[in-house]
Amino acid sequence: MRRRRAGFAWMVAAALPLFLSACGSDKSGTPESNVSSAGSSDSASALASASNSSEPDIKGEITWATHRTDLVDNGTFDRYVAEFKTKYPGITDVKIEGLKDYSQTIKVRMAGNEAPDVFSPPDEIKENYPALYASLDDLGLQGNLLLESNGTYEGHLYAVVSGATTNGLVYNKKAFAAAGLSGPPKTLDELFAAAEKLKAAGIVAMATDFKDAWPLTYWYDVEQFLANSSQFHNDVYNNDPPFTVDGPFGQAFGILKRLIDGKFVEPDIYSTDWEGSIKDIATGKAGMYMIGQWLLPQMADTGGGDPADFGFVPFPYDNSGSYKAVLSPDYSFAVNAKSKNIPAAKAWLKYLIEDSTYAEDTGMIPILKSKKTGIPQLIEFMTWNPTMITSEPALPNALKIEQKLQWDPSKFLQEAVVSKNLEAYFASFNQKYAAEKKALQP
Amino acid sequence: MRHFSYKTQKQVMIVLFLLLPVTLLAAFGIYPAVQLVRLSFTSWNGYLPGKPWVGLDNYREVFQSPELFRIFGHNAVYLLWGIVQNAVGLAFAILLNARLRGRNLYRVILFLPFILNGTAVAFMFKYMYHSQVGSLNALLSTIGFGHVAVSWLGNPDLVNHALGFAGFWRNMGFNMVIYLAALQSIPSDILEAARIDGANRQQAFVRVTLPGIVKIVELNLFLTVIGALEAFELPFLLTGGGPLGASETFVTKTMSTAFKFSDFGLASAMSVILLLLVAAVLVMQRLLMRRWSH
Amino acid sequence: MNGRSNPVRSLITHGLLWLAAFMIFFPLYSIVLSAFKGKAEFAHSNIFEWPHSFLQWDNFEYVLHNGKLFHAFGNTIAITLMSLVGNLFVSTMAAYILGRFRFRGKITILGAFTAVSFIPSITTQVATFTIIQKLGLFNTLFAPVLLYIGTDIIQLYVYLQFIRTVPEELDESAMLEGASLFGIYRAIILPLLAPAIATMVIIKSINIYNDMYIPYLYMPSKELGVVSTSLMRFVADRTTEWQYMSAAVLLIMAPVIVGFLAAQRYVFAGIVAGAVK
Repeated sequence: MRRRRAGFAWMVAAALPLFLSACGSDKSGTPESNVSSAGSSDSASALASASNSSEPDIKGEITWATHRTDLVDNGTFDRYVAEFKTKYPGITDVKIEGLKDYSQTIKVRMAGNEAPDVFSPPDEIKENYPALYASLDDLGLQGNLLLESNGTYEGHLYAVVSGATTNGLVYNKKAFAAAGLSGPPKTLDELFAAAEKLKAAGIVAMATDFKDAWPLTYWYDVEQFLANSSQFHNDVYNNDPPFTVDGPFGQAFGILKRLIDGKFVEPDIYSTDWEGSIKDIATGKAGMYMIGQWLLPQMADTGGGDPADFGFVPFPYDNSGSYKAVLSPDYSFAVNAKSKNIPAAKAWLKYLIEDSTYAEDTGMIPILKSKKTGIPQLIEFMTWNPTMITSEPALPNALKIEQKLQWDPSKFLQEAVVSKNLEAYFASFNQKYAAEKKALQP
Repeated sequence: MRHFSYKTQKQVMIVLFLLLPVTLLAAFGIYPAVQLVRLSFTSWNGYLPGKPWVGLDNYREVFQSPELFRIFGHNAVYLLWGIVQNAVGLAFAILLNARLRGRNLYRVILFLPFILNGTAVAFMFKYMYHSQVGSLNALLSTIGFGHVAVSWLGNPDLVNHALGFAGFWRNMGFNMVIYLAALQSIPSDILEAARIDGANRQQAFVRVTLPGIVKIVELNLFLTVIGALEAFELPFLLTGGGPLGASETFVTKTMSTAFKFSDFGLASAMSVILLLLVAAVLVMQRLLMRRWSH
Repeated sequence: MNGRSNPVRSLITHGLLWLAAFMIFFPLYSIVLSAFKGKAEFAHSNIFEWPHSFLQWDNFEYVLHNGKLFHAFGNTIAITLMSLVGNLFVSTMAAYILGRFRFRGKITILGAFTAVSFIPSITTQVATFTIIQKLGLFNTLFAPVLLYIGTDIIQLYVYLQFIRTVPEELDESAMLEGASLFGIYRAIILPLLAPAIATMVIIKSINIYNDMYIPYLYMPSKELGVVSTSLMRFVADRTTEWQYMSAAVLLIMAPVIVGFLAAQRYVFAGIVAGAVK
């Protein structure tokens, strides 16, 4: 589960809690069609909007909690509210709460029975969904959503993914030109060759934002490419032992390790910060960044770069010349089962998915199959013909073990790539994992 | 009221006047503490209705996790800085207890950091410690020590000291003011008498001043130990426990157990153990001080 | 050795104090410089270089406007006033009873106040939240007010020290004149506590002003932002715009510094009273 982090990890407990959550699968989905052409989202959203504005139940006031405090601050969401009120004149107000420390705050409020009407589930243990969230079966969304099974339990829809992300290699064309490179690397060897040239030109070859840890989770996608898998959590669970130096995890981590050991990354990887990394890649102080497509709009806004310089291509994980990309879910939206105004809450959720410009504003791929993304760089991305992998749900047991072990994938990766003895590091974790797995089996 | 006997009045007053303070204490102090203990025997995940009873499982788990106790090694760095903070605070108190020009101004300056907003102070130190734009490394290179410029919050060996120093910066003045108040309470005639008996400055300090402030030293040290055990705000705001978990403290770990890994029961058990530790420190310190003063 | 100051000793003393003052002002000094620099100026000047002008208030204006600070100041003042008034009564009433009367359970109550002060409040937030919610105070200004009104052991301790210095004979003679116990509280105890109350009002105000977690957790609504939450929300989204961050940090610190300088006499008096007596 990926998302933009607005700035400094103000309360760091918020940084990565959701990564552990399951990712859903949508085998019937055709994500390619969504990203293959950058059409006008306006016409698409008009088409998708089929709700009935004369519904009498949709009235009163609701509350919506979001982690996107930046879009609260800059008034984007106020615009949504105004639009929503025009659509449903009975609505008196949508109170928006921008929560910085999202996961912790929302859990305290759920425990205290004071959760907002619409919010993002902080956890994806789906057996709890029916007790916590209202069923969305009547919204007519089923069958039209990417990553739909991410929010379904026993055939009912309880949560809708707010947007999809795909990983890839962001590169700065200006930096590449300065280093004498004519185009993005097409193979892993070319990637390292490009890194050498960028480094020689005094450019940070690969931005990592290592200190914040969570951007590193994209390296787990590389494991999925190598293992031909659609859910790394399940690979950890099914592999025996989970981590080996020669296996897909070891190989994927090895690419990052080689970049770090060769000093192709930021000069001090322990003092990087999120906004600094965006500025570096946007302005050409850094050449490449292995991250999600949603970074692109932010590189123009926050980073102050020229969008003409931004390139986005699949990550060349080997030398075969074939590419892959993982389509994964961002936060979901759900309606509080205890909401006192469920009809209005559902209407707001439907509005967010069908009518609002949420996907555009967050730089994500719209979750509604009929909507098209407006990110021009994705066209370049698709010309490389990557095989799109849709995330599978993580096995409940895999999640349980990880939670029990307090396993944080990005921190694990951090420690692994700087450890002096990767084999021993893996071995000690494998041992703990095996013990926990054994304890779980009846 | 006047018509009632003082005995009745007294009873009425006790009930009436204590009603609100004690209710608030019960609601926001005692009840949450009792809940904490109760939840430590459950496997509650922190937000679902069900709170399954698991007996002592959580405690067993804490005591079977040596890495949890290793985190107290990070807290120990805060304790170290806390002791330095007490020593420096006492030293400045002694300096300011003498007749000195600008004494009050110094007292105000040294105390100033203590009243500043903790979060703002954290942001300020984040800026100062920044390895590229930070003023600390800039200062070092200005005075010719550019080669020791490092990533203060990024180096696993340094990070706790950097955070401990920020705590020292903020709280030293508070210790100093307390020590100063204690010193000023020692009647000057006792010191005079000691001098007349032929004691020099050092001897007078050891024989008269120190015993006079020993209670305050004890209190301050107790608060320092507690502060170190419960260190939370600075790592939470500045490093999030990083790099590589090097600045995790017991309380940041408790918080992530509760809210990141949804193991509220275990986190409650950790909190209870922390409170037992605090109580143990209190008892130990009392015993030590009693033996020492005899 | 005598009381006359030795020049070498005095030099060392002042030297050490200057060093300490430097250490304290150094981080503050760098944010003051940065807060007055424009974006381009910040990027191109040395950190210790003075800004072109200390009259360049753009950063502060930007922070005040975008951080929605004026509204936040209103909320902070409202919360502080209500809390102070409530706390004044709650704490002095408790101190009067605990300081003047002997009754069963007194030690238990004092012990409970002490014990509770050792619990890091962050670990008990879930239970506290439940209570606030059940009282229907969530997302109202009264949630933090109720949490701030309660008294704590430090405040009680300072008041008890003061009450102890008031001779009981005073109460007794008042009783002979027919005063009620409530009358004694109002006419003798409260006025005598005045200096301690002044100290506690200042300290409590500073604490309320500086607190961020309680307003953040209990009043997420945008309209209910207080100074600390608004500024921190503002800063957290702009961590690499150091000139804005510096201006915000200065803005949040400034009222407390001014207040402290104006009232430092009372602050120290109260601490002295609490520490020594």
